[in-house]
Amino acid sequence: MKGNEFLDKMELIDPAYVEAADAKPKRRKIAWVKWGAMAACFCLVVASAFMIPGIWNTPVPPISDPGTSGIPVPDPDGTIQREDEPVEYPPTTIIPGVVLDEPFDPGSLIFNDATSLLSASRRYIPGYFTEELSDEELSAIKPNRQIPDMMFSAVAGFDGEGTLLEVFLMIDAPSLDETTHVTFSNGNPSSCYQLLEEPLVSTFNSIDFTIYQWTPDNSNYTLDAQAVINGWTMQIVYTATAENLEKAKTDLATIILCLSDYEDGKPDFSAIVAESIPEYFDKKISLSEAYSDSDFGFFMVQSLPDGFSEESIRRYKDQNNDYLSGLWTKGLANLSWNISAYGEKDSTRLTSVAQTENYDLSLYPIPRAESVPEELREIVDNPIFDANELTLETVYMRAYKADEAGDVDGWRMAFSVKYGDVIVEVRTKGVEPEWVYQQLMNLLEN
Amino acid sequence: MDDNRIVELYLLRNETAIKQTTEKYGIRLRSLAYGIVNDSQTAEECENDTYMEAWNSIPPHEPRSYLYAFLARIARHISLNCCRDRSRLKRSAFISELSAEMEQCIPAPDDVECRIDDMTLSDAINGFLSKLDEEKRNIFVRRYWYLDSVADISKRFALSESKVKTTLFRCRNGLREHLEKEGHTL
Repeated sequence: MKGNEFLDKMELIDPAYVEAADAKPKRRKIAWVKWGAMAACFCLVVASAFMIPGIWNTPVPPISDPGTSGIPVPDPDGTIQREDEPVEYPPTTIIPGVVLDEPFDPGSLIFNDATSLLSASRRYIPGYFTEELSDEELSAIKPNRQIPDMMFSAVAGFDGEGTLLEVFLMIDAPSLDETTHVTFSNGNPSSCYQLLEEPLVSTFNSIDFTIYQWTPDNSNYTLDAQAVINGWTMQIVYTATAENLEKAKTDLATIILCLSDYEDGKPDFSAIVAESIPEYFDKKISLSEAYSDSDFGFFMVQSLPDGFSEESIRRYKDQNNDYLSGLWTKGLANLSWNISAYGEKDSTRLTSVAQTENYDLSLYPIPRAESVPEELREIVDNPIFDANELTLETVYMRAYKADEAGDVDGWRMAFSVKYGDVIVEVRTKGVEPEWVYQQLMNLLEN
Repeated sequence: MDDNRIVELYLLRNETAIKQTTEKYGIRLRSLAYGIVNDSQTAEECENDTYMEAWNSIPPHEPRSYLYAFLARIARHISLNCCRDRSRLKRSAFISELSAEMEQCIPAPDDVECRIDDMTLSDAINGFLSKLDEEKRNIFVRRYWYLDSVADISKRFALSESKVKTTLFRCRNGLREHLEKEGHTL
């Protein structure tokens, strides 16, 4: 059988696996994506219990000579070069030609046990944007020492004036179980750990590493190694489960060994320069200015429910967000009207009115965190309807009343409507569904 | 309409079966076809051909509990053949790339004497996949069943492209070892 025929035979894969692979993927938290999308936020520190720091001393396989066979590695354009049969290298194998400055003693790694994770949300950085590093820029931050088939990719974070703030480096290799996430920043690391005593330090190539081991549940582990290199803070994060914890520690030891070895003057962050600075503005505007907005003014709400007055109207744009939003209130009642461009990220919430399981709140009793299936949570929370399909009945299916002491009576609802390549998101409390429906239909008729 | 009722319509030779299928699965099937052929018009043709093939296949098949998977398999087959037949789609290079990757999984690619039957091969492939964790399995299925590019898989699961490539590389090796261990030649 040839590869072509075997590709056809993949149709024999179990339908359950085929369906599962087509299900909406769970959101995976990658630190640089999360930070890049943050808007205004406040510094928040959470503390809890303490634990005595522990010492890890696990033997690591001895460094051995590398093999001479090549490993077929896909080219960036996806073509495969057929070379010799692949060879599995032990994780601490060093590539030919690189000499250790001093003997590497894996047993000298010290893991400080902690049960408290103090994680600081970063202050709001106006105009913050990210760019993927070019090959040349990557070369400026790659370590001198590498393991076979080590693959790097990185994203840089800049402030609104183009000043480099941080670099998020991701490292993969066939011998590593997980992707290693490395953050270089010119400030403090984002994660700090609470210990009963001062942490113990591990030193490689004259660099002091403080290494933490944190688990919230004795099932999932975070291994976190922090050091200062060339004046920048370096934080290496590697995740593990209880089952592969020992291998994970070995993998982290390998990464630390590599990242403790840089040529003089490296990592060179001056080589990383923003290619362009995205447009950024954040301004409070009047309703008449909102109507005049060339991108979204057409879709602004044309009238207000009785007694509602303006709280704020905002026009915001940065690398990741571009919207016009308004907020009106009447006592505890409120109306939020947000207009933005429809993008690929919104497609997961788009639904036809025929698929009531995606939006009919009567199917999901409160508390919805328990009644809504996990795979539907995102879409049930804020479905997007095509404006041409929207009916009053659909709006009522999104509306519910909550009997909360001290709060306003009346309908609550949240959903979005798509007009071509623009979406209008409506969130209300104390506004009649008929009014909301009429406002949305007015936009269609105009 | 639930799948059971839609299949009943096919069995009764009621043509609203096609309409119901289109309403329920049309978007997904066209999206699947588009992912393979990368051309809107061709994807639409593949989708329509899928309905015709489904009409001709039900009966004797009665995919009451797996209708989407049944239709998707047909759509994949039609779309893949379309790519091979129509070089103007410029997808034949991509299909060749995937075929070359699949070649790495075959224990004895030149041995045409001992051919494994589909049922045994299905058990072998699915036995291998059952041992993978969910993430690795999904990546493998997205690449070799849905024929996604590495970039698309990377975006879908919010992973780096290097992680996706590494995972696929290990899975191909693992599948070959599994087939060798089970004594299968293809």
